[in-house]
Amino acid sequence: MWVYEKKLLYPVEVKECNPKLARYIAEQYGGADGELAAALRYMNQRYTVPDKVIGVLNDIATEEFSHLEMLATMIYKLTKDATPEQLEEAGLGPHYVNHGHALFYENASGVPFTTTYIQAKGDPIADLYEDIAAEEKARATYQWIIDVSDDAWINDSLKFLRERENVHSLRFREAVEILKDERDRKKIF
Amino acid sequence: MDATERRDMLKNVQQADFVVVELTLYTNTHPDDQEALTQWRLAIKEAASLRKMYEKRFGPLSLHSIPSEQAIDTGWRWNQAPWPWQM
Amino acid sequence: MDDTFRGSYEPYISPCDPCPPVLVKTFSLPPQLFMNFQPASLPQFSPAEALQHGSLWPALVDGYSKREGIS
Repeated sequence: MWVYEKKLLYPVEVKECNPKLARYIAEQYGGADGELAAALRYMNQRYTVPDKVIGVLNDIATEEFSHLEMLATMIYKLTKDATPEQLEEAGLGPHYVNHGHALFYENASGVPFTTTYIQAKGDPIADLYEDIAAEEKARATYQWIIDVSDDAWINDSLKFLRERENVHSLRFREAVEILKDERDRKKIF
Repeated sequence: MDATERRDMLKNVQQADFVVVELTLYTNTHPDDQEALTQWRLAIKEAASLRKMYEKRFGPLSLHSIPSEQAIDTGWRWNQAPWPWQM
Repeated sequence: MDDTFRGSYEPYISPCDPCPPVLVKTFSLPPQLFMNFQPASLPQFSPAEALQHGSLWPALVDGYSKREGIS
């Protein structure tokens, strides 16, 4: 089970109304390489990986949910008091007519989240390699969002999230190394 | 309640908790690193103490903590704004 | 940005390219590529610095800013 903590992982600061930036950040909220996809992918893979690497998947999945909450905070604040006209101007007209000011799990183009973004192959190496790729793709996405954002405060949070992808990628790489050490184990016993 | 002081004290908790997050992930893949395991245990202790200081004044961050008299006296409720995304 | 964690290449440039050509393209080569398994006892940030940088270990941090003009 999980227990809610009434705080963010990192102090997100949002100082300006900017629905267009919110739309771009949605790529990491409900997109193919986003935090929701990451959280659900690892949370689901953890049941069928060797015991030695369950902790890595369990704890990274849990952290991804805290990243999702950081992104939600950014999207919520960037659009909170925006008028329908401002949202339309930012390309969020179609979002507004379907969701109003609500957040939704969709990518920057408004495509709704789908579990076809993720996989669970039941093969530990196949799954961990997907996870490493997911972290590198998320890192790249953060780079491109930072490139199109002029908001220094938002970029500070995005930079933090990008760095977490580096760390997670390393932990998954280490998980692969741990499994490589299991070679021929059966012969020893 | 001083909003700036609350933010600062919360940031102390966020910093200490982040060290725990990092060391937890690290020790998951380095189960035999005794130095790291010791640091991890101390980091949890430090985070718990900073959390206690914050919660004593401003109320529980999770329902694993007992609400302090001080927090109850000042009208603390779990279902009370601001939530983290509203702050 | 830390140059250690970036790669670059010079793409073919056609006289027919419609946009002003970028002569050198840069890309990320983040720290985890060169580590694969983190060694014990790496130097650490203070808790405040760690949260700010996004990792407890400076060796895992390569940073990123829009000034870089990667892509």
